[in-house]
Amino acid sequence: MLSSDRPILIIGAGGFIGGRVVEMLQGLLGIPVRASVRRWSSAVRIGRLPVEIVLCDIADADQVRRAMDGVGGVVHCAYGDPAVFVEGTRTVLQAALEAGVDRVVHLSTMEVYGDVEGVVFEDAPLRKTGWSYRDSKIDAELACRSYMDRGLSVSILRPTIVYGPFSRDWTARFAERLVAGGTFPGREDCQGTCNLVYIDDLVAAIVLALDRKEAAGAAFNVNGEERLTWWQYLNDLSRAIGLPPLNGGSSFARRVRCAAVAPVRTTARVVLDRFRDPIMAVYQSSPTAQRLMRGVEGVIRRTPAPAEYRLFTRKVFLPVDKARALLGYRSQFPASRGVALSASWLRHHGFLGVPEGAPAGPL
Amino acid sequence: MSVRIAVVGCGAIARAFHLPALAAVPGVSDHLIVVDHDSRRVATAQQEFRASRAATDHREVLHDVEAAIVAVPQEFHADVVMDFLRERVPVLCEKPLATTLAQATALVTAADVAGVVLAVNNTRRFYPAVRAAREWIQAGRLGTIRRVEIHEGTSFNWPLTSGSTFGRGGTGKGVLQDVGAHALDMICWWLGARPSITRYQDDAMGGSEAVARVEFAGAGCTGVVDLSWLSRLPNTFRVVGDEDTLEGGILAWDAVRLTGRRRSRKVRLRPEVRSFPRVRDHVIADFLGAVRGERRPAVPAKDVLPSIAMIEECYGRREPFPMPWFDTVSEASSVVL
Repeated sequence: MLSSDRPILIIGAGGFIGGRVVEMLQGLLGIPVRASVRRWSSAVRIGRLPVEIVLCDIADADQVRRAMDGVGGVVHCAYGDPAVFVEGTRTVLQAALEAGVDRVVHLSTMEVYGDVEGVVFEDAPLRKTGWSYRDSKIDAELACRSYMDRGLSVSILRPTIVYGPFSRDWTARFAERLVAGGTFPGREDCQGTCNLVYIDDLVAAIVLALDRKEAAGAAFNVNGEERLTWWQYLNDLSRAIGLPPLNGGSSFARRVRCAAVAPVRTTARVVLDRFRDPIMAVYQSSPTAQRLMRGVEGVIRRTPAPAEYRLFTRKVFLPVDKARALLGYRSQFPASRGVALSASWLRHHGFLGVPEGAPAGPL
Repeated sequence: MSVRIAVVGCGAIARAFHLPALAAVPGVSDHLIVVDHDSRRVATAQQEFRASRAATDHREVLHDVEAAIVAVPQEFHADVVMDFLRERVPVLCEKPLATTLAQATALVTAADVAGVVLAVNNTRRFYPAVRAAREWIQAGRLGTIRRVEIHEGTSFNWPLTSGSTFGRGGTGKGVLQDVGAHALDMICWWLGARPSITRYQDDAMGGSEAVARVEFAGAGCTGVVDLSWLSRLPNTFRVVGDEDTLEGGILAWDAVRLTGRRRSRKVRLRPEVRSFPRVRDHVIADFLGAVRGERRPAVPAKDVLPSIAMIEECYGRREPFPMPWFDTVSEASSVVL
């Protein structure tokens, strides 16, 4: 199905996953890519390549229709405000239907299964829980289903914990905390299954979902094939960036610290959401305010959030049997390789501390 | 004293920097002209900053202004600035003055011939720690300078209104031309000379670089500049003399650190400029003072030629960074092909 005649539109190309899809489609298959971003400022990474870049907000039907003109396939990686995202996904699907696109690959998430434990295959029910991210991803999948019924060829991918270069959530954030000497939940609170999938494995699955006719109308788990615990992953990452193993000491003390910082975290988020502009004005105009805000930010970043405890203790595994059988998907990046590549990226981008010889930070 | 001034280009820098500052200056705000090829954008700017007039082509206002601020995308700087200079209109141009040394030199010559001010908005020269470094180096307080390092980077979030920098059909020049125009100017300004490039690496792959490293040497001094649009670097500098070492945050308003053979101490600064919003007021006041003939501009165009030459030299000897995490295509493709 993939050909070099018509470009593939990558929606959300400024993000972690979309950015790598652009990089790999360009280098991997020589398929022309049209990369769409919501803001020009998010085009920095993909702008390093000679790709076509267009501005496209999925909330703007005209922009979406223009971006869709003449494309052969669509990879929908965009995410944002949950309310906008679901309607925006419908806009993408409608435009794809009208444009006669051969295939839409929709990036969903393992979270659509809810807080279940155990082994979860693709036929498990989707469970809303009131968490806007999860619920909006379920609604977006339902929108995909309705467009499948109208004749659009859509494939849904449900990736697990996607890590690797440019991963803010599962790579850079943890590395920064490790470097800063921050805390993680204790060993017994990190025995949940990590479900790590390296970014390039996910992109390979996206390419397969674009290309294979068996992908049409189906949803697939996309995961690595090792059952690592979070404790193993965090220690692998720590070692890879040249730090000692995690301290397995008192989990109780860490839980107390997490609970103590939780109100600070919540308050900071609410205040920043509501008063971002005046706060940034104060930040820019007062060195004292800068120091104070950086101090609070540092404490929050170095302390595990309550959500981490829920995630790190969860014993759930998503097999990829269906993707393997129908698409020929195989994970090519064991954690040892993926973590090593991540470490080299972290080092290059200055996440592991200052480049050699630089002062340690603002004085 | 009133000045009829045009702001050409109503994108992010004009809206965040020049227009708010101009709108607050009596005698200037009443005569402000905004120019942008995008009619909606220029109309918005006219309304927001109460400009007296709006135009979609700078050539429409060449004969109607006494000064111009040029804030169009950098690849158009040279042509637009030259049009104003030919009409003997003083110009403050956003950095970089031009994208090639030949263009920049031609602009400096044209300004000299016309006898008008041509200034460049290299704002770092107004920053307290950067100014302190210049004063200390020039006064010989650090001894002979042996090493200079700058590490400047942040996740890029400038509210661009154009994507002309990026990807296919883009300029092919990214963080070096943007942030590097500041950093390399700081080095030339501090040292009073232009060092030679010994190595330049970046991550461009047919588009515009987002991470770059410049290594240089000259006059007994070596140095390195790390630049990034993709991650937060320390945003610090270090100047090592054979007597003392000066370290500072590029955006530090209140202090630098001085380390000698025996001790290290924090040195308090007492700057005129204490915050980013105040920088723009000083830049505009400086330019207006120069237009009125009251002073020499803080950054005359001639002063930035050495840094533009360095940038050009860097691009002329580009080496790719090794990026093993990028070059995994053969592994990933084995499953697809």
